[in-house]
Amino acid sequence: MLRSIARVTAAHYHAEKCRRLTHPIAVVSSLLYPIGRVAVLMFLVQAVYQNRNPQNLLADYQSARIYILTSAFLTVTLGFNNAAVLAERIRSGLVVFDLVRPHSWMATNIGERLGPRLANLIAPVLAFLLGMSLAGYQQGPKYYLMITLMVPTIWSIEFLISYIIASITLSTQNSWGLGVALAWPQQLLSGAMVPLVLVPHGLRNLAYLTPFPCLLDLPIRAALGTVALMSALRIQVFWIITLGVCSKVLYHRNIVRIRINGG
Amino acid sequence: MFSYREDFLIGAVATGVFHLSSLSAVYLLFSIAGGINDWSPTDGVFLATVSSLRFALGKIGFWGLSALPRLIASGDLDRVLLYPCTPIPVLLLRDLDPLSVLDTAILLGTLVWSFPRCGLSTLSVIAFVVLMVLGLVATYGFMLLTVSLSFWAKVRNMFPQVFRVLWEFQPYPMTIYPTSLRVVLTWVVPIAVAVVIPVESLTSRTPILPASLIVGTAAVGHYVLGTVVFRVGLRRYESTGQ
Repeated sequence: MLRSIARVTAAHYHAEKCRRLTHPIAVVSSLLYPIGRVAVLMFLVQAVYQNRNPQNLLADYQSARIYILTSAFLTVTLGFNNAAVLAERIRSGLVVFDLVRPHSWMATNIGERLGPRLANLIAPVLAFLLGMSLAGYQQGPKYYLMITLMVPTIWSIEFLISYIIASITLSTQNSWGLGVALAWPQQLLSGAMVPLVLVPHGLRNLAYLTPFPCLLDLPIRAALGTVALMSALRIQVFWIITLGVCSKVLYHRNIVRIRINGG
Repeated sequence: MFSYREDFLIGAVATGVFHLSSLSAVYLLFSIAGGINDWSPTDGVFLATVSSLRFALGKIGFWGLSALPRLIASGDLDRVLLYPCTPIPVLLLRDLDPLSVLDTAILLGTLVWSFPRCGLSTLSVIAFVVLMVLGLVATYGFMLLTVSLSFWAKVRNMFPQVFRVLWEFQPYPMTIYPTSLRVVLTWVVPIAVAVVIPVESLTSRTPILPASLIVGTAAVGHYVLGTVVFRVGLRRYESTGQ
């Protein structure tokens, strides 16, 4: 399995690098939307702190802004909301080619997602570091190291959620609808739309009944020091195991429904 | 989408979930602040709903324009020009999105829930509807302008993407942005003109007459500019692709 993942990842990494060389403008354009989102959130959070006594808020202003920058960086780098991409291959029938390959479907999908992500790492990393220094936030190496340490677990959880949605698509045609139905609650409950550090504890505890806060809120709070790293990793591992079991069960239940028609 | 009933239901649920999530985020943020710059959480949801409604109506009416850069790059604009009518209606109708009708229906429900109940008059409601229509005209004109630049762009026209990014600034009160950005979002790009100014005139934050002058001027200006640039670009179209 690991060897399959490595081979598929390497192939897609090299393909993506070649593609980027011929379309460098695509690198810039891919950062436009996240930069716009970050700018809007920064203005909104500034307005929140101007209108409400900062002492009545659950986090200080600097932490909230670091949260926004880091969540945007993680969203761009890890490429959330891949459910529709995975599911589209099933809906269109291209999954047939994946199933006849000498690699498992999961290994193929992991490699196809991971390779391009590694190839496109430089621009978001540079943009993130530039954004942090322009904003004057001098976080020590420990902050960046903790974020880096949690990237594999974040990516695993996001991939498994997408994989579960894709497996459900084996039973229905509407991959787009399933992807959208997942994507927006994911953005809301992970802290991408509203930093969960500002949300009342009751609502935050409700969000933590889902795996979505493990994608952004939990890693960022661990890096900021408000949550212990081992506690954060334990919660993430719990969700990885739970989602992994669900994805395996769903896949094996739904794969028998595939009818491959020739001719 | 319409082939199978369950697929349609999934699409409908997805659309509802999308709007519920985005409007909940707005309400939550405004509630945490206890209101932002005299906009209550309900006012914030109303503004965000109007913004989404403008987007949904745009998808019904003129989203087909977004295909123009791709058609120019591939040379497929020839097929559109072969139709026995002007190319604009063909572009507008080719990518008509019927699911946007569902979008609109859901948003109208939210609009009714969050509609301001105090300080309204018949004149302000009529002015709001008229200003929203003019705002749509301004958006159409500016969108036509940005996609028409593809007639000149040799590599890739990024203006439609930049315009799309600036839409993210739309669902929130303009008072949260610095003055320089507000000027850009009002007079250069029709962001405030399409949504915020009509809502401000409805809720008496801006008097109706100055709001009408700003929105009317922007609508006429962007429509004329967009149409002129499109026609000039069409004359230099060479059917060779890029």
